[in-house]
Amino acid sequence: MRDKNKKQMKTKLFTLALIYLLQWQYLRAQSEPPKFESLKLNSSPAFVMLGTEPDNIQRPSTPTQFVAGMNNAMVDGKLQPNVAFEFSPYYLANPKKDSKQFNPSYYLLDKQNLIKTMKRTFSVSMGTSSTDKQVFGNLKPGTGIGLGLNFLLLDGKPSPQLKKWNDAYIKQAFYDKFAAMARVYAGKDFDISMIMNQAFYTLENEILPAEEFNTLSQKELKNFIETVRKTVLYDLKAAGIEKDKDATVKFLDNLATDALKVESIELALLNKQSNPLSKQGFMIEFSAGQAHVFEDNNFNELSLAKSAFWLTPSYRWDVSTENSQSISLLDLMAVIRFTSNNSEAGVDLGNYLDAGTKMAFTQNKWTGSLEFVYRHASETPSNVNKNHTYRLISGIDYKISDLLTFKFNFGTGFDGNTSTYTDPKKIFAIGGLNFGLMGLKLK
Amino acid sequence: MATVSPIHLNSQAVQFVYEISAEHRESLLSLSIEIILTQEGWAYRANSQVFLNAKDLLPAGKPLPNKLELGTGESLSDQSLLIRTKVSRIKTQSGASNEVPMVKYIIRIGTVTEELSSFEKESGKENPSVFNTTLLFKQL
Repeated sequence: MRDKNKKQMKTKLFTLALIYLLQWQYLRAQSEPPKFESLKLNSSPAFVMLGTEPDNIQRPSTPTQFVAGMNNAMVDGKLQPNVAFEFSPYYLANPKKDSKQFNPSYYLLDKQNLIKTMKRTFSVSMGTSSTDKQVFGNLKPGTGIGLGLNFLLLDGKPSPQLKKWNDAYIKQAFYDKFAAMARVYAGKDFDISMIMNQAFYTLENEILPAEEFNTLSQKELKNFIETVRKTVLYDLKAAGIEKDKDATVKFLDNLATDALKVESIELALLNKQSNPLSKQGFMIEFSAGQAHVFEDNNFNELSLAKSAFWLTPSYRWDVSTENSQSISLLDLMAVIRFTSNNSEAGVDLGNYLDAGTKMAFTQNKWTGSLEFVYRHASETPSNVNKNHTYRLISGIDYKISDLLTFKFNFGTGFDGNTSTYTDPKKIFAIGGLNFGLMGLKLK
Repeated sequence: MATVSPIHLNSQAVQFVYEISAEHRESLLSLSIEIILTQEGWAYRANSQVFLNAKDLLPAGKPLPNKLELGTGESLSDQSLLIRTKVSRIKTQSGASNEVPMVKYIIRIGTVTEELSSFEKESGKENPSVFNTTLLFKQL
């Protein structure tokens, strides 16, 4: 009974503490909402520069949509706040012609090439926001405009199951060709060795070079050819049918059917995954951005606020269990960022060097994350003791639908401006619902 | 569209006699293959073999034939056309239905200016699906 009462008391105290915490932070939020999004590791550069996380990001997939979006950003000759754009020049200029035919290059599954990767992942972001002192310092109030670009230097690798399917696909294509070549052979003496060599030649010089998505390594290809050569000739000779065209064709048809069964199994396993074409492994992204302000909302008073560039290496593991229909991903990210503030215009005294790391686990609609960012300022006001500060945030996201995401963040933060450099021991808890229209995500 | 389809799904093709009318004796005939997949979030990957007797008309890696030239009506008489197409369906979007979509497979024989015949077959849920066709041309 005593233990039960103790437990109930603890639960009540915990609940009261949580309510107090949330209320305190709610009240705190009314006067000064924390801008932890300004250092979020995986936001588009333009929004990072503005310190915003827009709910409605327009992602035009055609030039017409892009122009329409730009027109909507201006109303009565004024640039509207809370506009957010993101687009990929490559995919704007090269829209998918046949969306139903599998095109490995569209998913960056074709042969690895740094220039190609950079070109196809190059993305431009643009956003606007109302200005405030935290982000824009002593610049006159107006409309802030953020511009950013980012691209991948390394874009990860396809999943192991995708390779298994593709290997099976290529091998099955070979057996089909081999059987067809034997079937249509019209020579006087049926010579299976000659036909086999022709089939291997076709594999190496026609099938594989034409294949945009070839996952067979040179060693794997060599092993496959040697295995086929030994086993087919041996089995045909053992059965005494190597000179019998009809019997050999039937034998090869059976091999092609067996290869089809293997491909079918690998394809079924692949399609059970929530996102079969997703990449994993090591990725590295380069980003750069600038924020300007139209002071007093006057187009003639455009001032540079800050510039930044950063690198974001990351590693993704697909930890989904085999045959599972749910997706489980573990992401580990880091960031190293340099921000140059326009100190002459009074944006801030010093420049920032940020180093951060984030771990996130995604299971279907849930994402849990833990993020740490360390900031060093080159110069601080005389009344600020330290040049460094940090933030430690844990977060939970739940995607209720394509339009609605519930987000909750808990941790310690800082305001991010050397004039208001705070000791990051103030704990906050922020929860809310994000409502937005999700356009097509360009790859 | 012809009512009897020479296309066999997941089984060996049975020879189908294709009659070429006398008016197309001198016409250059061609072959086109089309695949229709309507399910959102899925794409298809097709691999085709086209042999006219012993001649390989579609080198490996080439896209599905679109007006692939076969020969004049007269030259095609008593020639056998073997077509084998394997269609694999793969899910391309996160959140798409897990059910393998069906595809419609269409073969068209025509001249430069007109379509003479088309045959179609719908797949089942098996993935990949293999469509086999053997046409024996006969000039009337």
